[in-house]
Parts: sequence; C-alpha cells; structure tokens
Amino acid sequence: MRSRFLYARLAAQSLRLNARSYLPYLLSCMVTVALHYDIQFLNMNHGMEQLPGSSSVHGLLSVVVLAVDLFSVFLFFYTNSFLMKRRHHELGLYRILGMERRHLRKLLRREATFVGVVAIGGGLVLGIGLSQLFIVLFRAVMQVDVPLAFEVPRIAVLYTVFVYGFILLLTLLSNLGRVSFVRPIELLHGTDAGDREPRTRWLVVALGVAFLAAGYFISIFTNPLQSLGSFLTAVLLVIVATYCLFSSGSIAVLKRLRADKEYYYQPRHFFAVASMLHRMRRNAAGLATICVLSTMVLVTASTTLCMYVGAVSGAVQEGTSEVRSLLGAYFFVGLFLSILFLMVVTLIIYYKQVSEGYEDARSFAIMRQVGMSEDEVSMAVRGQISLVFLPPLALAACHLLAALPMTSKILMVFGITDAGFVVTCAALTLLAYGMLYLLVYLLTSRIYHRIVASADNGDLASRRQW
Amino acid sequence: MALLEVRNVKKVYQPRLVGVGVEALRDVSFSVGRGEFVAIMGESGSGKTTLLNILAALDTPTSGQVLLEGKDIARARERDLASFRREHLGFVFQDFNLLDALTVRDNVFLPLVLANTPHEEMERRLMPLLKALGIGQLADQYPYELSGGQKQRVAMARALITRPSILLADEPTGALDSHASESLLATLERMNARGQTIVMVTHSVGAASHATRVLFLKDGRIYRQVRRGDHTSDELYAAVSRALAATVGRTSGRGSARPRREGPTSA
Repeated sequence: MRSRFLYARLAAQSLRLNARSYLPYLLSCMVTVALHYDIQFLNMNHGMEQLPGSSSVHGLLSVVVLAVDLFSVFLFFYTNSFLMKRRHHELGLYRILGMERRHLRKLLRREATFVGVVAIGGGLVLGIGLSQLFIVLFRAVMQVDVPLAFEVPRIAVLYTVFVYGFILLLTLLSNLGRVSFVRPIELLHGTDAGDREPRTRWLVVALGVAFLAAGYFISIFTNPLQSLGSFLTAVLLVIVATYCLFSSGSIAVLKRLRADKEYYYQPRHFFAVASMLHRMRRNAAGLATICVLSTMVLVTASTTLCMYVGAVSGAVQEGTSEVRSLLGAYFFVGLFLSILFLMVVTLIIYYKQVSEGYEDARSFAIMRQVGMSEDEVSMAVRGQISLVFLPPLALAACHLLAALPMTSKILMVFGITDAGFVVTCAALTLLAYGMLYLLVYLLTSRIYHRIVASADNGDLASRRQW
Repeated sequence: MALLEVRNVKKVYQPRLVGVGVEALRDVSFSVGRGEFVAIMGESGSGKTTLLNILAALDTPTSGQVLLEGKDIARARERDLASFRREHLGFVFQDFNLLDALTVRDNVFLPLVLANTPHEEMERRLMPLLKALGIGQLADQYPYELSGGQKQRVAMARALITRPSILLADEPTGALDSHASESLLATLERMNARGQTIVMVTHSVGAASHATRVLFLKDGRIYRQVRRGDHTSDELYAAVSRALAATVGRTSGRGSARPRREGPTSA
C-alpha cells in the first residue's frame, strides 16, 4: 500500500525537480494536441458539408492531419530523449540506492500516466477553446457564410486521444527499454569525455553544395504546376543539402576559423569555436532541423500572407467561390503550420540552450577560476550563442529567396500576379520571423547564462564527489 | 616584505535565514616569502579549502587581510580581481579541471587568451614550459587521451604560463596513483628550486614532506608549523608525522589550543 504512494510521490517529485525541462515538454504536447484536435474539428464539422468545394478542403485537411501526426512522433521522441538523457544520473542513483529495474519501470509508468493525462486532457480543453476562435477566423477568411457550429465532435476527441495516447505509449516503451541500459557503474564515470575531434568529410560538403545548387535550380527554372514531382524533388534536395552542410560544412568552416590564429585566440571566439567544434557531430542535426523548420515557417507564412492580403485587397476578383474557399483553407492551414513549426523551433532552441548550459557550466567555472571576469563570461556566452544560432537563420533566409520563383508561380493560380507584391510579403515575413527568432534567442540565452553563471566552485566540487 | 601576508583572517559561513554561523576560519595569520614552498596540512573540515579559496580570491574573508605583493585582494573589486588572479596567481586542482574541448596547447593558452596576449608570445612561452614539465610531445592531444599524471602536468603548465607570483595547488596529487604523485611532487620541487613560490593544500604527509615549510590547520586555526631547514624530505616526513600524532592527542581541548611554534614564522 505504502509503496504505491511512494512511486507516485517519487514521480511527482522528479517532475517538479525537472520542471525546467518538463514544463516546455508538457506545454508543447498540449499545444500539439490542441492543434490536432482543431483541424479534426474543422474537418468533421457538419457545417463543412455545405461549403463550396468542400471535398478539396477535406482532402487538404486530411493530408495536414497526417503530416502533423508524423511530425508529432518526431517531436515527442526528440524532446523525450532529451529529457531521459538528462535523467540518466537520477535513475542510476535510484539503482545504487537499491531499486530494481522493475521499480524504475513502475516509476516511469507513473510519470507517463501523469504526462499523458495532463497533455491530452489539457490539450483537448485548450483545443476546444481555440476551436471557437478558429470558427470566427475561418468565416472571416473564407468570406463565405458557412454555418460552422460550435460543437465537440466526439469522433475528433476520440481520434485525438487515440493518436496521442499511442505516441506517448511509444515514448514510454522506448523509455522502458532504456532502463535496461542504466547501469549504476555509469554514474561513476564522467559523461562528457571522449568526443573526438570530428574530421571534415569533404565528399559530404561537396554533395551538400551540389544538392543545394540542384534544388535551387529546379525552384528557379521549372514550373511546379506542370509537375508536382519537381516541386517535391526541390524541397527534398534542399533539405538533404541543409543536413549535409550543417554536418560537414560547419566543421570545415570551424576548422578554418580555428586555423586563423588572430581570430581564434581572442577571448570572445576562443571557447565558442572550440566547444562548437567539439560537439558539432551531435549538434549538426539539431541546427539543420532548426534551419529546415525556419525555412518552412518562412515559405508557408509568406505565401499565406500573400494570399490573405491578396484576398482582402480584392486582388483575387475573378475567383469562383470554390477557389475562394480553397484559398481560405490554404490560409488556415498555412497559419496552423506556421504556428506549429514556430513552436517546434522554439522548443528545439530552448532545449539546446538548457542542455548546452549544463554542459558548459563546468567549463565556465574553470575559466572563472583561471581568471575570467563576469563581463568576459557574458561576452564569451554571447559569442558562443550567436555562433550557434545565426547560421541556421541565415541559411533559411537564403532558402526563402531561392523558393520565391516557385511560390510566386503557385500564387499565380490564385490570381496573384504581382511579383513585387510577392517579394514584399516575403521580406515582411522574414523581418517578422527574424524578430521573433531573435526574441526566442534572447530569452533562451538568458536561461543559458543563468545556468552558466550559477556554476561555481560548488559545481566542480560536486563533480568531484561523483 | 613577504610575498603573501595573511593577517587575522576569519571566515564565518552565515546560514541564509537565521541560526548560528559556522566558523570555518577563526584567526589565521601567516606569511609566505618569495621562493618558498609552503604546504598547508589539515583534515577534511579543518578549513583548508576555505583558506585556499580566500588566497585564490575566489571567496572573501569575513574579516582580516590578505596581502599579495602589498595589495589587499580581500577588498578588491570583482573586475580587478579577475585580471589580478590571471596575472599573479596560478592554480592546480585535485581533478585537473581541464577543458575537454581544447587541446593541451589551447588548455595551456587559456589564461593568456583571456589576457589578450599576442599569439607569437603565447607560442614562444609554450614549448620550453611543456618540455620542462616533461609533456613536450603532448601539445596536440586532447585531455581524454592523457593519463592522470599527464593531465596534472598540463594543469601545471596552464598555471605557470602566466609566470604567476604564486602557484596555488589544491590537493594536486589527490587523484593520482603513488607513482604519478611522486613524480609530480618532484616536478613541484624542481619548479620551486627554479624560484617559483608555491602554496599547496593537502592532507597527505607524503605530499607535504616535499615542501620547505608545513603549516598545520585545525579547527580553523594555524596550529603549528614545521620547517624543513637542512633536513631531507624523509626527515621532514617523520617530523610531520610526529607533529600530526601530537595534534591528534590534543583534539578535544579547543580553548587551550594555542599555536605552538617550532621555528620562526617567516623570514
């Protein structure tokens, strides 16, 4: 009897202690669940049947739901694995204190139940609230009087619960599998030893450049409306190129920077370049993902903005009501995807800052002992963070520019023929996104700074005890 | 004038809210002359880490003065302290505290980089120092490729490359096996013979017996001191052991514990 409460209490306590990591996880799960529900809500709303061209809107929404579900799997696994890595020590300690693996599994099941109930329950409540807002938005944008009713389609709720229950179950299963690998002895060893210096793989750099050129070429010189295949090929090429460039090109660039002694041996660059090179192999995927998602936000949002402004200002005049409703649906989906991608980018940046903060805390404590003042610490932190977060944004802006010829051809279908207008929309989107990105970056770098600054001799001493 | 002068240093750790503070250091006074190799001995809880942190200007005393080359580091501002620490103090720690992301060369360069030293000057100082410490061939290795003894030598190189007035060592042999310890202590002695002033905190009699003078710290006071004089390291070892045994015999009577001198405190 008592042990049942013990596990519940341990689970509650560990969630509380890890709030800095768990809270964003819970929030992002909730928002994803809410958005999923809202698309389902629209898709299953009785009013939709009366919409002109409802079948194409249905089709679009179904595809989006599928994409969101796949994306959720990626998102949940990414954040979950981040959380579990941070808790390796804690679980190892429980093992040393005499818990068996099955006890740990019980603990994890309790936690997962809690997370599941809060994320799905909270997400549904949020989603139902938001759906009312979406009705208003949808009506305004479609400019068609649709009798979309405020209702809670039972099937949308069930579908959402089922999908996210399943995804969370998958993450729980992977965590339970991970428990098998927690060995008490691992606790006694340091975690960050042995990241070898990465080699520059020039072949991958060359492939990245070639793919990027090919993707850009397709975007600029072919018409996506004639073949959907070429559009998808271009997107795929650019995504692969981004991963290649971040995994190998970045190493080449960093080594070049390190070879430039005048640049490298400066307080503001020294640690930033060295530590980034040190963990580039692990970091490349995260940075490339930030870049790809940023590109998606930029392209989706700028296209959506174009359509919306075009529709409102009357640029789309000869459109039939079917085109108009499709336009509205596109707008809605664009808005929805932009929010989702933006949230994920924020989350990845946040987790990156937190995990790197903990990783670098010891280094900064050492540098402070060697004679680095607080001002110099702040300067080094700024150098470090800007080196990490500006390149993805810069490359994303570059992708956006290359995508313009393609998106403007798509926009022509909706009667938007003014190229200057398309460019203005893209520029405005880039500006807004850049500011948002900067805001996320500033807020999260404060968290990084706080983690790094709170490290002192105590951190070095406590490491010694391990 | 002594290079380092510690006058009536007291450190009380005050609990955050209410309660009685813990006196880590009661009234510590001693001085270190240029070219000395002083070992401060004490068990866990004797206040030796607190004392070292204060000497290193990483912590401030509740009262008292710490004069290094005539400058009171206990009352200096944070900004000045960082550069002062960089220019006048070198540190060696028990667990090396090397940065994993940097090569041996860059680890050693760290304090010079922070001081904006020209790159040519850094290179000029590097190899002679690494060779003197017996790690000349390791410049391009990473810490994870080195043994404990080698890591500690790298840490020593990092501490010495700024040519500090004092090298502060906190249990430098604490994480090393006996062979590596002996070899490192011999290196410390050699550096001392070349004129480097060293202050080392330790609880190991073996380590302390390499010093020219041993101070005993107990319950936050300097309790006793032993000078090496013309004796060998082995004789000092015996003297330190005797002194410790005598100390253990009189632990309980705190009030009566007065510093007993077995030689002049300083020149």
